[in-house]
Amino acid sequence: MAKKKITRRAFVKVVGSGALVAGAATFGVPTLLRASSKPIKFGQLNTTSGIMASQGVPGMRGAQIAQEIINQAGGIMGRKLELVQEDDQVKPSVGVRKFRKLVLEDKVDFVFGTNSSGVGLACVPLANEFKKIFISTSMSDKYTGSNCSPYVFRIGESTSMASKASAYCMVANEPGIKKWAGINPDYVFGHESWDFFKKGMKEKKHPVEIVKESYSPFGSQDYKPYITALLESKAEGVFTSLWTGDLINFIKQAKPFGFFDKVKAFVNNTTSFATAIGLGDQMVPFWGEARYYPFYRDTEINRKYISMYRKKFDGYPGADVGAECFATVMALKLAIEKAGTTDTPKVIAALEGLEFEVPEGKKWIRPEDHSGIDEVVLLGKFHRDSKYPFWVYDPKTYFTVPGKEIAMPLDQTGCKMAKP
Amino acid sequence: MELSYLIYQLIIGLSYSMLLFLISSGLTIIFGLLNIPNFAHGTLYMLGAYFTYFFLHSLPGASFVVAIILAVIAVGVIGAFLEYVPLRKIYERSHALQLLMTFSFILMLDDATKYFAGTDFLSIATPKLMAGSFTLPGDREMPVYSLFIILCGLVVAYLLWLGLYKTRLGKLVQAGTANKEMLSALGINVPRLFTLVFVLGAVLAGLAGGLAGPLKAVSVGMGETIIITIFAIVIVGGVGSLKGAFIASILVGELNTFGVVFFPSFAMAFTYILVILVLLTKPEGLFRIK
Amino acid sequence: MPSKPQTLQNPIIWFLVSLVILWAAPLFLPTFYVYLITEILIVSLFAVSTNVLLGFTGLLSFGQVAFFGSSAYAVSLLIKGTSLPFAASFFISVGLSALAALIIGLFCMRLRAFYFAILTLAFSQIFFVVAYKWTSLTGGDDGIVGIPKKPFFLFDINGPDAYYHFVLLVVMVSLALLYLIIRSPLGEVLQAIRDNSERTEFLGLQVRNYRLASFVIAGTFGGVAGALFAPFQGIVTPELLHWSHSAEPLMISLLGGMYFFFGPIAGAVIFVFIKEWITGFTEYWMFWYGLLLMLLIMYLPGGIMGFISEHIRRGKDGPK
Repeated sequence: MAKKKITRRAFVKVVGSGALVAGAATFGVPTLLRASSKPIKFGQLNTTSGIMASQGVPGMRGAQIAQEIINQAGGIMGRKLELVQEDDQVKPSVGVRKFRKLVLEDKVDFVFGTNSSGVGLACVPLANEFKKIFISTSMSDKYTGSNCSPYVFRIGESTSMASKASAYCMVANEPGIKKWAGINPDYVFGHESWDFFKKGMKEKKHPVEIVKESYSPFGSQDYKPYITALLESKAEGVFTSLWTGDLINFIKQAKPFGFFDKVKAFVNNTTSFATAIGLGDQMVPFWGEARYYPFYRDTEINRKYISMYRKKFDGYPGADVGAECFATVMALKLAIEKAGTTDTPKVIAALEGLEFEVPEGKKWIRPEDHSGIDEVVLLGKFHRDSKYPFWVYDPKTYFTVPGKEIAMPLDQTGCKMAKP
Repeated sequence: MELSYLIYQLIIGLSYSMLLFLISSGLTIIFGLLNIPNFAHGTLYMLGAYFTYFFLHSLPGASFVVAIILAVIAVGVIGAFLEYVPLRKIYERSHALQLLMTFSFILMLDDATKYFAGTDFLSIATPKLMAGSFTLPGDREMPVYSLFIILCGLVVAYLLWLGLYKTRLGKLVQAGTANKEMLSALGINVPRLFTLVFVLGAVLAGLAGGLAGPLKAVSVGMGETIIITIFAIVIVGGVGSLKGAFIASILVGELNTFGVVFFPSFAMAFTYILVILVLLTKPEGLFRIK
Repeated sequence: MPSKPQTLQNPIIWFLVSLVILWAAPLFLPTFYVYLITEILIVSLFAVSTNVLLGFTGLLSFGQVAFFGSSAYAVSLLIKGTSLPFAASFFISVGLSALAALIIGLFCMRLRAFYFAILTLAFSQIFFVVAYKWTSLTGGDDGIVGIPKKPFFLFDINGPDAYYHFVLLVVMVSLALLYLIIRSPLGEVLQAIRDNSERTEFLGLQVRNYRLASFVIAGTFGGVAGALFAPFQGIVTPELLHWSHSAEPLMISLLGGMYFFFGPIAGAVIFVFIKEWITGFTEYWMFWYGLLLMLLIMYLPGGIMGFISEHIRRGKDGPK
């Protein structure tokens, strides 16, 4: 038995101060005393290697900051919070293996994370099988739609919310533009984004002429043919759901074509702020929509998040996955305290209808489909601001949509929630 | 569709082709002479971009050109190390084992880059002189930098051609590519020649990385996204054939460009369809060296 | 060289002993390790099938994932979309990958060395693109989620231990078949082709046909591994068809020792455990993993089995 424990410890990656406490608890303290101070364990899956590390690493960091804040304030119900973080390598098969490892080997109480819906959706059947709560930090509507389950939550914006908010913003700010075109990544997220954008336009009864629909493969090297074809279509407005490196590649290659002068409005539904940081002064003016934008809310929790992130990691919390993981840890903490236990069915009940505030703003978890709904969703147009080494939204252009207005109506989600 | 639009796209496609040629030329020379399928070639390209960024931002007043030259030297040094220490041990082994060895380079170099440069995207600005564009009839823009890439590709192709066909060293490389035994029979210091050629290939990859900087998000893993395309070019052109790599680069670049214009939904498959079509008709690539 | 009866006897004993031990393994292993060994078994079969080409025919194929993945997709679609019993879905999927291997093999047999590798890669990438883009059928990059473990004939295979036993039986039977093939006259011809294809041609043997047979065998058993993998994971995604996934069985074969039948199995055990351990141990697991790979190739180029057998031989011959 003792031998097994050591092997298991070798597998466990313990982050932060939790490690020492856990180690002491395992070896130094008699069993009875240990029970009350046993840490609560959260398991996290995100991508920290390869091309998607730009998303996953900030995701891990966001959760670490939340952990530090919680543990400094005495933990959760007097128990330390321990994070077990695993690299999913953006591979669903690895995600599945690591999910099993977190639950069976590390004995975590809850699982959250993922920055790709391929990995996240692969975790849904496991959450059901192991009866563990899984909170996704990727955007698919399926978590709270066709694949919904009592154990599964998505507390951040979904693809449909982000795309519809972009459409609403364009109708309000650029009512003169009728000719629209799309350049979207050629996978499920890209196709869904573009469809929901068009749907949002329709809901606002905005007359739209679609002049070009294009999709580019993930990791495309050369966007120039797409750019020239878009320009040739004489589109006045262009919607895109390109993100991470793909968005930067597109912008850098489009700029010398005068793309951002010729196209009157360019709107993106997934502008991780890391894009603006990465591009620095090579940024261009366009409308962005992000799950987290650092400079909108002057709240205490947001200030704290930014200052801790900057101090610990020497940079701004750009990628919105970071704030998303932070929010998830906080939501779980609040739900556990509300439930008074880590017992899964009780925490599920506590999460349902939970209202909380995080750096992203105020959120509410809709009980029927487990979808997080933001108080407001924010868009803005990037401009140069001498206060920062990168472009930020022009405060004059802030555009907000109440989350409840763009949340998928319950009769359209396709979610048939079983009883836990 | 009007003719001027087609010509316009042809030139746009050529700028992508020349970037591909800059990367694939190095690989085909290495593969041809050393008979090593260097899977880490794309990673050397990535390092070229990172070093360019690094020198551009850490040396006060360094211009784009100076940064690229320094970056190319740095990548060359890394290439020399890779050839001199690990690769030398496995020249006589199977391609599979050599691939695995170069794959291990990718893992190490990617993570080392992540350690030193972080995971955030970096961006290299287009040099001011080349940031603009020419306006063509029909209100179409031709970016100066795209033309610059075409120029670089052509100049490198010419220099490589000169080097390979007009110098003694080049003739040795050619002879060695066709027949390994001949080199030792001629009393050549083969290991030194191999190191030299590997460094040349690495330098070309590094140059391509630096030149691609203004078009790309510099990030860890950017080498893996392009390496299969590069291998496809080398194979379609014929391993070791510079001319083959040049023609195949143009084929892949233009196919991608016109494919996106005319059959956008198949964009993911263009390169593979080309590989299948060429190899089924020419099983040893377009230009066979023997 | 040991005498003939021994070579026949030994494997059978080995086979039975390992079957018994592995069958009992869930009794004393935590569930996570039952999952891990299930995965190792499937990966082993995929690697051994790939090694029929790599180690025993001398063909470097980068497209084996096409057969693994298409079988995984086929079995998932049949399980979810039809009322066929699982056994029928299973055998149909394996049959489909055998057919796919035959068709692709016919195209690829003319090619040599690295040209062969890249052509097989291109074909397998076409499979990948189809799975990625045919969203209405395959779910695109989100994949097909929630593949149940239906009973195999009358046997209930739901649950980690039951599915493990099912995988164990199928993999052991498949490995036994592959072993017999390698030891058969066909296997001997394949190795002769590997060692010297021109001479084999002189002997009047149709090298192309033998290579094709080898390709179909590898594809078929790759298909078996794929059909086992889909219900095990409960999900299939295009990742299973991506070329980078083809590299895995090659790597495992090389690490384990590609000139040995059991090389890939040794490779799979070590590969899966090391990767599992190292990825949980540091964020920079790729560096250490890469370093380990490089050192292994530099100092054990014959793989683990190569190293062991050399030592045994040296031990027998006495010090030189």
